[in-house]
Amino acid sequence: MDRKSHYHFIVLVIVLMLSGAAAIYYQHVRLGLPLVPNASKTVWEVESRLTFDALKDTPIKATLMIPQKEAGFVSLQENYISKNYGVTEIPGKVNRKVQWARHKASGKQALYYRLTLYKHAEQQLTEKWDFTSSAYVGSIHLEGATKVAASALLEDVVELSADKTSMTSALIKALNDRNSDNVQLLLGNRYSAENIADAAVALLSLNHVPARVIHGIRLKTATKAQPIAWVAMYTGTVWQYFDPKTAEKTLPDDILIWYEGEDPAFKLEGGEHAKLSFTVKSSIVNAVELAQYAGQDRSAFISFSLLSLPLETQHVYSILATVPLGVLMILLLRSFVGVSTFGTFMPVLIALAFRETHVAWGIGLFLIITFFGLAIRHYLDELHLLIVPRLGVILTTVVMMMGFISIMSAKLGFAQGLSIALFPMVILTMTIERISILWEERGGYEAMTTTLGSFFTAICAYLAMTNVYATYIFFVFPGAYLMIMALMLLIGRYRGYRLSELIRFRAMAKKVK
Amino acid sequence: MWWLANRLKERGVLGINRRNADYVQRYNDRKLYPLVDNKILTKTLAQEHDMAVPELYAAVSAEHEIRDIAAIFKSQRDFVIKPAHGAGGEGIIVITSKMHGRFRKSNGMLVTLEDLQYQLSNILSGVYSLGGMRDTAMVEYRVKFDSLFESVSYQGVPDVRIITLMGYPAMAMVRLPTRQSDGKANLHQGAMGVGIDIATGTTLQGVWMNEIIDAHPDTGNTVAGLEIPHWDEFLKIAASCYEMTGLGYLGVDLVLDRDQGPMMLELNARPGLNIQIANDDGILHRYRKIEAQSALKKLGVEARIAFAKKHFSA
Repeated sequence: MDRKSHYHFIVLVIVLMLSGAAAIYYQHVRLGLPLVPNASKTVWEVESRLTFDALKDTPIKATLMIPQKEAGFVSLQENYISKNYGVTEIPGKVNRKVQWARHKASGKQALYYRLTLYKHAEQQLTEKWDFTSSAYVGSIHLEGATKVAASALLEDVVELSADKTSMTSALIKALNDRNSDNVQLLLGNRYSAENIADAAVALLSLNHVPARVIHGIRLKTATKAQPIAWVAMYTGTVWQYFDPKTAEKTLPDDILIWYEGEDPAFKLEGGEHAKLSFTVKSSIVNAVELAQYAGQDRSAFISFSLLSLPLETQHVYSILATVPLGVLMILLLRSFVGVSTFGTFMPVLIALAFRETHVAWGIGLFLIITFFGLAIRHYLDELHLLIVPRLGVILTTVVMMMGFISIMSAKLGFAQGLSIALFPMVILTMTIERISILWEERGGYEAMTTTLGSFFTAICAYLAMTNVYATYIFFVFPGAYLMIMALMLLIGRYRGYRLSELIRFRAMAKKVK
Repeated sequence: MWWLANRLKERGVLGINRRNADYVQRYNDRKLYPLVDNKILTKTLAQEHDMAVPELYAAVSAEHEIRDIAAIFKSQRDFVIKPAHGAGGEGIIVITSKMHGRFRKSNGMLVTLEDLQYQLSNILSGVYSLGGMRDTAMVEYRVKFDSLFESVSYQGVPDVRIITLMGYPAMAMVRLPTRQSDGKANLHQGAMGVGIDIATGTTLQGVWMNEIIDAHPDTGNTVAGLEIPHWDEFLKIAASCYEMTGLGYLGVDLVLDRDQGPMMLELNARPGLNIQIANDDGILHRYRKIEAQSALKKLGVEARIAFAKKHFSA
């Protein structure tokens, strides 16, 4: 090995290792996929339901505010459920909306928007919620008596406060004072959090302080979740959040920001008696489910992974995904231990069958079939057949035996016996043929050791391939493939002795020259 | 365990991993493999180079030719049937004589013409070839081995294996059939390997079933100290296989015929490692010397043999 290709090799291994690790790191940290399969996460399903009665012969247009994507949570799934409605998503810098439209309808209508999400562990819900603050000043017009009331209220508050934070706090406190005439005038006797927040923002704007009402949903299981309003105020450097009822400067970290501004949550044309309600449900999902959810988010890097496949195909791949791991076991056993097997990758196929039958049953069934197959093969030898017809007869016998074992185990009530159908019968046939030839040519000892070696390797491969942790990693993190490739490359460079050679050459070690 | 590995490394013992990666893959061009994997090709090539080989009586490559083979079997008193692509001595049948229209195998058992034809059919369908590919069966001259080996072999024909690297003979041994190996000269099958001093052609100690022993397991006679006749001729054949095939790393299998002298039997591009036990010496040191020498200057057959005799004597 000359130096140049040696460096080339080292660089290749390092690049594979690092890119594999980077891909895993990205999926783990950025997409929040846990590295351990039994880690579970709480996934929230928030559903908003807009019901109304359709007006006769009027086109219907309903617009609903919906949360911005990636505002402190990872959106796993988003559905718009509505019959016969055209759905348009209207992205916006400030608010995202969905519009349902239909030419005409009659009777009760229900439009659903459903969002499945989980929170970023280390990210605050509001982290990404940061828009140009100047846009929030002075959009509210007050006139006449209301304007006088507002100015009076503001004057009191400004006098009593040192900075914007204390002013906002004081303002909200003042607005919560039901005995104040000014407040009564401003709020018109509606002391709801939403009204107070609206008024607070209007007054702050009047005083040239950027502020905004934000509307959110508490992530708490509830069939009738109440949307809550919050006051967001910009100090000039950061956004601060105030509870419109208590005036506390706080923001619960389980709040999902739905939209912001003074606009109503929805607009409806062509309908009446509209009602918007929210349902919040939570469920605990394990890591694989979470990964599968995440796979449906096409925007992410993950859309190139197995998780973006249809679920049925995913199941097939969840089995295949571990094959490289089984192959790695074979490489280790061959290059470092020196186990001899029938065929290079035959043990992996046997191990795949073991997955379905379980090891003990698998070995038992395998031995039974091989034993009878060998007996038949021995008998066929007497008939002096050509090899392919002979293999055909053995294969047919194998299939018959598999059927017979399945029938017997069904009658006796052993469910495991039925799974024998999953054995690769061509592999079985070739194994029978090879055992038989090896036995004739090299004797029973060699045939037995090779058979045992194959079983041993198959069991090792099986254990590796059914390891919950390994299966999970390979299925969810494609980066693991790059890393396993790097490992295989390294094994390919191993020039040392195999364990079996230490035994084989031990006589040479004893003698001291 | 580490001690064992270090000790073997110290002695220059070559392992399978290193053999495959550093020698087989590096010195043997894959496209040249057919020259050694197909024994008919090897034989033809050797004849073109005036190298002594056992005469080929017939090559059977189609099922219908099997019926016609009876004529050949009739005309020859003794012969050997072997697959052209066989490995590890598998599928070989040696017929030593005929009796009552039956054929006597080297182990004394009598077989019928049908048995032989079945064997031919098996060979054709690829039972013994690597990867189960369709194969050709060869019927060739049976080597009558020299009486020298009579006391130290059980049936079958002993053969001499010489490993060459870039045409330099590196290590040699003679393989003696035993009862266990069913008369075959393959160490995997239980034949005995006896190391040979490259310089003199004298046998050293023996190895049987990976154990170092001094006497033949069946005859009980000492295997060491036998002088192999025509040793220089053996070395010459082995060394010139490099130019003949272009393969840099070869196991050359030779036999000593009573009448015709040393003959090249077959070549192996992935020679085994047991030869090291038979010589009680690691082969890596020798390879390194050869590699160093060949990097200096390209030598001819005679010069290479001289180099080997000088540096690799026991």
